[in-house]
Amino acid sequence: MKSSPRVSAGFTLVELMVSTAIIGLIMLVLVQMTNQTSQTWRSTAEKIEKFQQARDGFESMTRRLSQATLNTNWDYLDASGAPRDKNVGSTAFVKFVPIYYGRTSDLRFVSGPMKSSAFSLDGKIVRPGHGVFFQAPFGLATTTDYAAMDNLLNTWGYFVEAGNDPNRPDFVDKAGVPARWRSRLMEYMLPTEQMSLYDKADNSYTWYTLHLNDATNRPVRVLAENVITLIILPKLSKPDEDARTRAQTPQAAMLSPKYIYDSFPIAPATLNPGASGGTDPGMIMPKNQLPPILTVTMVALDERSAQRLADTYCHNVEMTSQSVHGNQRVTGSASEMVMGLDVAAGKVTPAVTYANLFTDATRLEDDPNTQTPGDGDLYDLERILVHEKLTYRVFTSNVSIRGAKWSRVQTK
Amino acid sequence: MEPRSDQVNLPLTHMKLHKHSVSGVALIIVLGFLVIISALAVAFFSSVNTELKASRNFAAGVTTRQLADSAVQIVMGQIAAATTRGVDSQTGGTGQGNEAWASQPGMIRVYGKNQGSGSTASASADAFYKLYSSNQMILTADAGLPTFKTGTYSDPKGDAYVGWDQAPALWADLNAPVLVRDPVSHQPVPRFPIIDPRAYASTVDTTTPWSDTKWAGNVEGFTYDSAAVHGIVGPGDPNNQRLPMPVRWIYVLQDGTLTMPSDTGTITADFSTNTSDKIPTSKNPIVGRIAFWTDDETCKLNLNTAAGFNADPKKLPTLAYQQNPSSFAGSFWDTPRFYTQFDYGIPDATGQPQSGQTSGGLALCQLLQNEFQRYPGHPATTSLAPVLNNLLTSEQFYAVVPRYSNLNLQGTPASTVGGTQRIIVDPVNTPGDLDNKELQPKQDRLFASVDEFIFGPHVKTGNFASPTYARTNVNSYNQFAGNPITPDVIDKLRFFVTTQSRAPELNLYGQPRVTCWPIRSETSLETTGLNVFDNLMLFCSTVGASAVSTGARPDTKTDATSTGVYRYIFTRREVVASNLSSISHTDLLGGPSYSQWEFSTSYVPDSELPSIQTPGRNKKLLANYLGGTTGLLSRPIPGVGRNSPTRVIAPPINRGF
Repeated sequence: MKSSPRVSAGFTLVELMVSTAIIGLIMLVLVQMTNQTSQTWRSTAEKIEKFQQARDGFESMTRRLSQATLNTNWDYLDASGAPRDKNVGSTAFVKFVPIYYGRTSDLRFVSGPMKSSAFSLDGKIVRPGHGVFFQAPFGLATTTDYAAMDNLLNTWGYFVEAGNDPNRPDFVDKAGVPARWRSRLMEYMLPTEQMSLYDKADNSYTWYTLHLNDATNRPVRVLAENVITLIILPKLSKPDEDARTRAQTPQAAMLSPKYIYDSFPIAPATLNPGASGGTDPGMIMPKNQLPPILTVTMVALDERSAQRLADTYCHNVEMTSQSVHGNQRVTGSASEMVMGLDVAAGKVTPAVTYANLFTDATRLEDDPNTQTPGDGDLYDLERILVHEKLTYRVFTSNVSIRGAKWSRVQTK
Repeated sequence: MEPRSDQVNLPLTHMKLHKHSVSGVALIIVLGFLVIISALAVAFFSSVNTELKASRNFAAGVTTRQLADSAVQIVMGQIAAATTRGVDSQTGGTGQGNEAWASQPGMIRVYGKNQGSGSTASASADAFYKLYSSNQMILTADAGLPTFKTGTYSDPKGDAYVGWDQAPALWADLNAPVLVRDPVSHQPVPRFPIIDPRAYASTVDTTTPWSDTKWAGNVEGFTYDSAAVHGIVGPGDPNNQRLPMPVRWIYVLQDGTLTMPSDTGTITADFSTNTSDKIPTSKNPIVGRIAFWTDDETCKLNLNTAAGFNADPKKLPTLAYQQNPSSFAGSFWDTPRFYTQFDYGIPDATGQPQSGQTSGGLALCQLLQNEFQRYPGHPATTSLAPVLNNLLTSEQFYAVVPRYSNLNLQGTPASTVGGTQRIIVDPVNTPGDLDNKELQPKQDRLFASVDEFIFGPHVKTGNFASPTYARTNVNSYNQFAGNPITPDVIDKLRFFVTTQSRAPELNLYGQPRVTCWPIRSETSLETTGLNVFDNLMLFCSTVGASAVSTGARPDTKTDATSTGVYRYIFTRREVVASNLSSISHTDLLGGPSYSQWEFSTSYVPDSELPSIQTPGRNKKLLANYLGGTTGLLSRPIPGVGRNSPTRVIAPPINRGF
């Protein structure tokens, strides 16, 4: 009976203080845990979300690339290996003398560094990384009549371009809102009616450069934001490449040692070694052939990192974007077109020359001239990105082109 | 609890109050923590759940692709099994089998060398390899073939079950249309994934003369029976026409097993009668089901290579021809052999076919150079008429197809119009005829897909001297009155035309054919003396790529197994003085002896030259490939129904080499 009042007497001051302290401790730990969990969760979610667009873009790009077609056939060729002139009745047509029988195609497949002069693109825009242009039956048409025709042929392409947001409405620019300088993965989608490839006058690269250089009405859309580079490496299948490596140097065994591939080489010797033929038995001849495999690599940043790069390196954009208002092309300096990565490349040790990145395919993963494994161009690019404290992600995929029937049988 | 009398009451009340408030705080604190912790847990789990959903969506996409791939794998397996059956199955994989195969949409038939008559003779198929999902993918004489042959629509075990629509657990309609809004009329119209039933219209008007605007909508020979299986709706309202293509579902289990329910379950799949490894269980559940059907492009008209002549009477030049279309050649030319009007034709005083009557003939209206649409055996003689019959005239065919033409450099018709006209090219009396009046082959782009047909030719017809790039002129068919080719029409034609129809060119034994075109041997004096046609023949008769060859001519000197190059063509050497010597002969009739140039005794024919090949390729082809105990000539002919493997002495061409 005596004890009950003591129980009901409750806690002493010391007890209360101790328990408060314990509660405080627990609270502290809990708050920290909550904080940490939420931080981890947020960063994971962000990582997934911020690269969601890049991933979607990458998937869409690789899927479409695998549908590239050349629709090859075999036909008579003259002594120089050219098919008969398409212009019936022209001198070239009448004087055609068939000598050989070879693979021909009306369509084209081109990939390589976008700054390469071979592709005769508007020099004002430096487009980082590589581009690829091809034909495939995607059925894109502007005429309503053709809306239901899914297999109409289109000229299609992918490349990376930096600049102000091309989809911004006029009034935003007029209101003086700062330009949104970003590097973007662009999709080139030419409506089927505008396809100029078959035009006999179109004998170089105008089938895509004409529309790409169009100042006001480019058939181009943004596929993914904050993509800083795209690398396309056409490759032979593994057995084919191994067979070549045994006979030749690794470089000569590559389908496109300089990343350049053109199914109808205008200047064969400079684009594809061996294409001009003759000295190298079993040479690689890409003429009117699709590459069997494309290794597609894409490097994407998150929005925060891209904003930081833009803030640091892209300054005079605001002024120029006003003057080119209404024009989808934004003129920036070469450095701005690569989001200042060329400047950043000089700050890392050892310094990297940005312009030399991804021009020599033997160096993509690993530099064959050094003992260190994995010190190729991709590693160098990552060093730059790490130095700038950017969050980035590298997407890589081997795309096998379904329409490719690589053949060693060479034609003139 | 009784308070002591010496104590005051007040503190007790205090005490009580105090105690109450303390207990409350503890509860609140505990509850508060619980709330915080559960909120955290919920937040965490909900985030995990989102992730799970995202990855599950991704996984679903992958699984679907895998399922689609598995259907492709099944079909590839079927094709490989069917086409190599003749090579491997018969005599232990020595490549000496005697079975020939023939493909069609949805199936490959294999013909053997069976003796017997009727359905057991080799003229009737040995085996059917189905290229659509079925409960029996291969039918052979000992497995299922009898049921297939006698199968009826009412037999649920068969492949065409009339009541398929009442058993959704078993059957899927691959040709179910999707209703879309027509871009022009804004009305809902059906679009069919495989075959457009509107290509069959019963109301063909055969009496009205042909006009540009009328298309009866019929593809020649295409018809279906509305009563065959449920769901077929024949001609009438075109938008109501339906043509279901029911095929069976194949169920895929988690471990990759393919299984099929028995016919007893219709709404619910019934696997109870299956063998234990084919029954889905909780550990090995159903993960998907596939249904497929495979088309065969080689059975379609190729828009790039076909052209032909449209023998539709309504489109012939005169009424006389319209009334008697069988008296002119149409889409082919051959040597005139008999004394009939069809062979000789009826010339007038100037040598032209007499006007007003059916006077064209093989002799009178001989084909011209580059008139490929009449070259015997040329792919261009294949006529597009069955599909374009009511849409275009023959002349319009040539305007549309990419490589053939009926125009000369002046842009005027210069062909024989299917053997009804005579074209005289006379370079003597009319200098320049050869340059100008010759038929000119077009060099237009080839169609890459059937849809591309909508753009028609890019090299404009008419005056060839200034062709315009025509793709930007949206409707290339506006040169023809009535705009005959529309997206709608192409939709209907899609099942019947193609742009790629490559097929293996093999003989009945599944081996390469031997080309009957001797070419100059590499040991001849002028080894490069091959004309472009020789080169083409050599190229087409050489199997296997050479890693060392660079030129257009495969290097036949290294033509051996080691280089993987095989040549199926005979070579010959020219007769030159160094190979000949004058040899003296006695006259058998007692006259004076005479000398003549003959091959010298030291001459070794190509086939025997050991330095080139041992033995030479000519000899190999003759002695091992065609002749000999294992040669083609001593083997029974599959699919021909011969009772015994009697050796037939006949030109190889008759035996399908």
